[in-house]
Amino acid sequence: MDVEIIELSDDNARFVLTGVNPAIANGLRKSMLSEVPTMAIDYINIYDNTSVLFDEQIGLRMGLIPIITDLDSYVLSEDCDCNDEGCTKCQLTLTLSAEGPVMVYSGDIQSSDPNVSVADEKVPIVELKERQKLVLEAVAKLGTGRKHVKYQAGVACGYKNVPVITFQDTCDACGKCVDECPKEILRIDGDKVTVTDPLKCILCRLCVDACDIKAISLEEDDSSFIFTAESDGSYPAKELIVQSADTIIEKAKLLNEILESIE
Amino acid sequence: MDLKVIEKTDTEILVEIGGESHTLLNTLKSSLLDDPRVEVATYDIKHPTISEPILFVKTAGVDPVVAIKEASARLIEVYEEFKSVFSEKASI
Repeated sequence: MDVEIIELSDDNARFVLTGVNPAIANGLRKSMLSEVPTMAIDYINIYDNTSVLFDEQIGLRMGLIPIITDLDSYVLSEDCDCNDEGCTKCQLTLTLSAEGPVMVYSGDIQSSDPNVSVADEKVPIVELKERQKLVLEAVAKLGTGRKHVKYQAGVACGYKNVPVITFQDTCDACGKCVDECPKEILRIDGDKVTVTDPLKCILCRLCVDACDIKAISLEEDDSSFIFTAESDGSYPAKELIVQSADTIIEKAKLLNEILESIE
Repeated sequence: MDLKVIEKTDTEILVEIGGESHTLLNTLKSSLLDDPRVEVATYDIKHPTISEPILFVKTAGVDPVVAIKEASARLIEVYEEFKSVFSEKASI
């Protein structure tokens, strides 16, 4: 197994994973999308809302605001010692109070835990005009993407197989494929055509169709994957990927423990 | 996770793995099929929102529970390897 990082920033990662079967890669993708726990606002008490939006719309907007997740300090409410009654280990209280005229952003939400705050301060909630008020208290909990989309940590996670472009000896370097390629990754090199960056290939097959003598073959490598992962801000992209592998490991360990006990 | 053994013989097992989804079952199935002693490994989720996955494993002699345990251990190994390789490359 090998990993080659193409791009890694706080909320974006692109890497090539080689030497695994498709099920392992798919497990990783699914885990990022639906199994990694993140924090999101789960219910709100509205004390005052004279804005133009209904309480329900404010609730929806609050729920979808990404919150930085700290898995060391918080646990899933169903795993908590308090039996889902709500305590400081499984819940985080946030408050928001604003009076017009002002544009209310996610950055105005005050968190009761100094280590946990909203991931993006510029998510618009509502615009308040003169004499309009919004006062509310929100409770955030951990959850997984399987339960609700607001808990989804990875927002654009996917992979494709690494393309393998090969030219037969019959290739006469006519250049038709070079003109056709939308990504411009083919180049005439003397009397043959070479691929400059196969990772940029979008598998459109225009080069294969353009070749009159069928000298190009485009295949997909079944054991190499170009992964793209984008985080919603709850985790840095790197941590999201490690966490997704961790989540499957935990599941597999739990399965083994249970099997041990039924034997 | 909530395991219910529906049927078990010396070489076959039909077990419901409650609370899990394709994420674990699909990877586990592929890991089971890597084992040459496993003849059949498959799972089914009858209804995507209301059903629990049911895993069926048939082996050529070995206890199916042992086969599942070993497959799951292999899965842990693969993802641990991924974690270490990825963390190493990402920290440079």
